[in-house]
Amino acid sequence: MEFDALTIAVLVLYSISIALIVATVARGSLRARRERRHARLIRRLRAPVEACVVEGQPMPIVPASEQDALLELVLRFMSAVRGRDADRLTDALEEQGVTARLLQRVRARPAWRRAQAAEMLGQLRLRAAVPALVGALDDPSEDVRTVAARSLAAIRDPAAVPALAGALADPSRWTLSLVAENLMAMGPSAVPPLLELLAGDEHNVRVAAIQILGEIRDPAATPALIGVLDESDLNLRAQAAAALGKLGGPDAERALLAALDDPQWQVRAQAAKALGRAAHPATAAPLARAMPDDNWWVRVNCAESLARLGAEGRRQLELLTRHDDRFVRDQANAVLDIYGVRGAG
Amino acid sequence: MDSLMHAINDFMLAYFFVINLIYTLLLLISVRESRQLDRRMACGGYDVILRSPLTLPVSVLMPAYNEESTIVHAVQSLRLQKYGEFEIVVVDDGSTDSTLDRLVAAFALEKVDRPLRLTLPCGRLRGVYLSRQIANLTVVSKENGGKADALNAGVNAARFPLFCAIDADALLERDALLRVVKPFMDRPRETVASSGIVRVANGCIVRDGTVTEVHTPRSHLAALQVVEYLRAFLTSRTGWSRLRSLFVISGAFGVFKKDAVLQVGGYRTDTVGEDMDLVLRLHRHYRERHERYRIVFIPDPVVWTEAPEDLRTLRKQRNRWHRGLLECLWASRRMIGRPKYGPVGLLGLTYNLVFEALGPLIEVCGYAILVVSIALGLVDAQFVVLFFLLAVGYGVLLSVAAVMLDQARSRRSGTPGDVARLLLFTVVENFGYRQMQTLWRAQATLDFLRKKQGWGEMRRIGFESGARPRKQARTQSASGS
Repeated sequence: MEFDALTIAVLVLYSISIALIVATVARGSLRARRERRHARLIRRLRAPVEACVVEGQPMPIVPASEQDALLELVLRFMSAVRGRDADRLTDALEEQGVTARLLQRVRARPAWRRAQAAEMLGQLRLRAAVPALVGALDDPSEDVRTVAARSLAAIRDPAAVPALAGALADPSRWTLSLVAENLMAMGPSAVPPLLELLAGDEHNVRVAAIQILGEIRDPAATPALIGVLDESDLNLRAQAAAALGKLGGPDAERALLAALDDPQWQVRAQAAKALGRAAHPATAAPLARAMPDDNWWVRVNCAESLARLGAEGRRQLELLTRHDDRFVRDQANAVLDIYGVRGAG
Repeated sequence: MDSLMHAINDFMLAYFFVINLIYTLLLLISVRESRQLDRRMACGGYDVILRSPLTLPVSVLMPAYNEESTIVHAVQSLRLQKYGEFEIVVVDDGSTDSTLDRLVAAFALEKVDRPLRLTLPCGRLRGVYLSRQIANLTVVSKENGGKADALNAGVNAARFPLFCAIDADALLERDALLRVVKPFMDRPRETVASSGIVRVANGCIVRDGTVTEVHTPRSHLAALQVVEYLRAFLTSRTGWSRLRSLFVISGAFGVFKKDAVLQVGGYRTDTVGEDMDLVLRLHRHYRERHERYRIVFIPDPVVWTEAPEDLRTLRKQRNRWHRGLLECLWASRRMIGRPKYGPVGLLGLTYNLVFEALGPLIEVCGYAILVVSIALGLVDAQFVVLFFLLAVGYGVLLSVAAVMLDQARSRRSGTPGDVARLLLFTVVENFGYRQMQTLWRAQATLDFLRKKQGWGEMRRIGFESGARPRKQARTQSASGS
């Protein structure tokens, strides 16, 4: 009795192993066949779709089973066409009901199908998809939310900016970098809602807004960021200094020069670094004056920024190698050393 | 006597069934998890991460000790990584061959007087070198102090918020860095460490620093290790990662948040399992502070490594791995089975203590008792044969599942002939190879016990002081580079 059970167990185990192998092989060959068929279809449709894109011929009409292949081909060209040409392609897809099916698929049951549909709608840059994608920003699946945000950014419809910016306020559901990424892709049209967020009082959101404003580099944000430099929060001040360095411009530089005297070393360090990024030779003298600081980071950033200010910056560094303070001398020498090495190559 | 033998036999049977039950559960969890990961990969947005200015820059740390034959090649291959901003920090750990000279010649290195912040203690530095040709290459030369010490020096020299520790003989796939950093982009606040799969490069064709064709190695020993690695990574680590109790992040390829590592005091230099030890201390740090954190394994980022093809080297490697595990378990003994430490303490460590650490000893005893039982006529020979077949069958099933999972997921497992050979080895490994491993690990356990008697006390003190949190590391990133 006991042996029988054992024998059966042994047999079952080995059969499962064999079944696993058979199933994998079968699945693999099925997949290969499907892919071959798909490749054939793509080859057949390629010439007519190309004719449609390049010569303005009408889009080939295909049965429902071949619409996915058609869509795939059109998507390949979407990144290369702009304006009216792109509209013509999406219109042709719409006539055949392809886009309508995609819009439906944004509400499909499996999350990966929803994500896939959202992705394609973004690649098609379909304005009509904005409401559906804004809806998908609240999808239970993180992936779908992610893709929807990315697609909204690709469509660049200003109507989507408030929804995206609003997502910044919910860090538990959103990765800051993702939303930031998409808002950056929207460019200056994202600045007004970001300035509104900056005026709010949620610390994390404000930090994110400052970072994104720095990346968008729209001078419209300069006054607001300069205002942050007067606030009491250390992190906000340091972030604002970094962002102002990216924006550049005379107003930003004046504010950054003032920030070199900030009571906190973190802000001084960021201001010094930002001035190097703005790379205006007139700031060399004040940077050199700020260099004898107690803090290592401030000294490093001052010296590295000076190295980026061209001849005047180098002159100041040479002068600093004869400074009374040994730490200042060392740092100036170190940067000149690295700068010399890099410059020689 | 009879009843005692029966009790022991029953215990062995129970042990056998429990361990196989655990393997099966891990396998099922892993299959589910990797299916989900595959689906998610389709909309991973890797190109966005690649281009984004917000992508976290990474310092790739490569400790090298007497690697003159491979080091230049390794650096060149690293430069081809498809990643936004990253730097390469090679730490020459007091090599006695021409490792440093070759680097100097190949990349026009020049010694610079660059101040290095010694945030972590490490061996005396001999010099910092920068390249005339490549902007993101730094070479730190120091006196020999072992891999952990070299890594600490590398962390000191690293400029970026993430660092990736890799072996000098490892070959990263082009998009490996991008993929392994993805969890940090998805959840920047929580993720503290992530790692990818290590695969056996023997037999594969390598061109321009990447593996272009995958084949099952000719060497039988290497082929056995291919099966072993697939099983360990695909069907075990994926599962442990899902259960949030992963603490094995291989030293060959792992990415860490620098701040977190600085807070737990960096790598410990007095253990052979420095990689596992670090991850355990990270777990402990965050659990004790009740902070949310994630340590993940993802089976996409691939690093290729050369597996030893002779028994002697393999034995030494396995002996080191097992002693490393035992040292880590000993150092973290207070976490084992404690609910306070969450799934790591309850599941991960307990499992590793009972089945990985003590397992080999139990197995060796089992074999001995089996022999005695047969000699005394206590068990039926037919039963023994059937039971052995059952055990082999289970081993085969798990290995086949791992190989097939790999087949289903990726298309880079060689020709049908290669796969057939791998399947053959899933059977072969049960006759000799596994038993050999068991013996080696039992031997390693004895080595560990013998050594611990000598200087166990000192080590304990070292551990306690090593786990001290470091305050100053916190402020640095908010304001630094």
